[in-house]
Amino acid sequence: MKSDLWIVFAVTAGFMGFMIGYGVPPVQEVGLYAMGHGGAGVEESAEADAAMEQFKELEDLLK
Amino acid sequence: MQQHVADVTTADAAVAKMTLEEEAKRKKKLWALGLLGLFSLISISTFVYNEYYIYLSVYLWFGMIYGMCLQYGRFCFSSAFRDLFAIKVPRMLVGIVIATLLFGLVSAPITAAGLSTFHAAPVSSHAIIAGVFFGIGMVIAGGCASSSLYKTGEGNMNALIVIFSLSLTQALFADVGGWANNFVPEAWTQSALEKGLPASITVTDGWVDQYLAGYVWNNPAITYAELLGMPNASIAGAFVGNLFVGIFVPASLLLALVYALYWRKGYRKKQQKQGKDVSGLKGELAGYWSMITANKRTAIAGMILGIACALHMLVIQGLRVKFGFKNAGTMLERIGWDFGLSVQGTVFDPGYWYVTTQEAQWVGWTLQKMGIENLDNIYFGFVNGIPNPAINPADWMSLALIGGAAIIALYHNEFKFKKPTWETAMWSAIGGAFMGIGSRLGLGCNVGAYFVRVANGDCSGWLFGLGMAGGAYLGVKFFNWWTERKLDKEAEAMGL
Repeated sequence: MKSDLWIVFAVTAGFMGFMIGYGVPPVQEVGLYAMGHGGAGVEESAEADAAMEQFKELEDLLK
Repeated sequence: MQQHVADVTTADAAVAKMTLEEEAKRKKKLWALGLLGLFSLISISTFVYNEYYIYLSVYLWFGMIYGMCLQYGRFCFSSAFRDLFAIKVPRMLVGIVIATLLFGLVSAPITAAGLSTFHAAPVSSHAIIAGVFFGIGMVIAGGCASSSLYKTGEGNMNALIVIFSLSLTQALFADVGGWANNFVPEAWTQSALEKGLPASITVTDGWVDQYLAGYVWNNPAITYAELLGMPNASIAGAFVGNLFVGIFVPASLLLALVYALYWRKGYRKKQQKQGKDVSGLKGELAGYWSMITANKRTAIAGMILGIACALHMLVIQGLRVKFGFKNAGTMLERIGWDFGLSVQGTVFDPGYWYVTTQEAQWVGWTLQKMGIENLDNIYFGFVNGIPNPAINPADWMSLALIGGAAIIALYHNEFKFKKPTWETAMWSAIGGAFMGIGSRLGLGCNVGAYFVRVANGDCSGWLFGLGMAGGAYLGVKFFNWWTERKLDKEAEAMGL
């Protein structure tokens, strides 16, 4: 019964692997340090405006 | 002959019982696989429909992992404090503190690399007061915010009532104005006005709005690293400031206190009975270690939670860079879901494990659809928004958390539909309401205001935890009094 719990883990690991593979290349491209400091080298979209910067400062204060 | 017939009948009955049990287990397994299939189908079909939906799927799969871990580790803050104060058993509390430490250990390299999506919260006495409300609520409700989610996944309908009550109270409390404005100090109103919030936010009408903009925001939001003059995104800041000073030292002291008050005596008695030597520092250290390793299951769950949280941050940050936005509100707008965005075009998008806000948003969205304005307050209107629950990223996480817990519970034959009684439903609703108020005052629950904050070196985390412990103590005392009163009345009615 419990032994086929591996199906759950395998499917979960499969999706996780895909998503990590999808999300991590931009990190490699930009570099860990640069990404954590505003993503230098990556073009930010037009939506990332001054209001968003203000939001970034406040976002966790308001959860 | 008769004996033989009786033996055969008993054996048949036992076989039939076993067959029924096996059949029930098989059905539960099928349900678990069905849930897994549903999540897979949602992820694949939405991704095929539009690439952006992978952002929501990230929340979904990490939510599922959080649910699986919580169920496996029986991760419940309410049980932890209730067991400690009511029956003097520190096992679960120790497990949670160890889990917090392990989460901190995993978070430190992420913070050092500058990849953390975490932001510190303002530090002041409000965190303690909020914790007291939350602590009372979780003991009365019989579950904290996170355990109510996983217990719902186990089929516990009292836990579902807690979630409903918690969600409703948060949404109503965040928007309460009118008569409640009379309880706002003038200084808060003036300070809130000076913040220059957009006109759509009626900052002078709403107790929580003025509490946030007029009081909470005026306090420093600081980590232990920053307190020691080190940047968070540095090896020294993340490992020495946040991890060692902010987590390891206070956690070790707390565990030492718990050892001295609740574990030492029992441990020494047990060892002495077995004729073992417990004298000296060696004996004390052995006792301390035995306490720390007493709840491996919760600690392991905490460590996996920590790793999952760290990976969650990494993947979300990567996707934000890939898609060129900093908040999911932009993404929702691009795919045509622009209802309920905040005045800044944002929605609640924490980038890591969080519990309460998305639940409040369900109610906020429903009220807005019913014509009750909910976008004129800071909580919803300025920051978190109230997007449709069907495409709310953090909602996907909470629902998947329930699903993940259900999968593990079904596999371990621990799923059982538990119908509430009127009395338990009442306590669930009252406790949920207390937790809802505590969550809004403290800007988070046992996860967002304690677990994640402490693990990321936020100075306000331990303050909320302190308040939560105090509140839980009061809750336990209240429940003891209530139970004794009830038993006395019953005994009196029976003429005893």
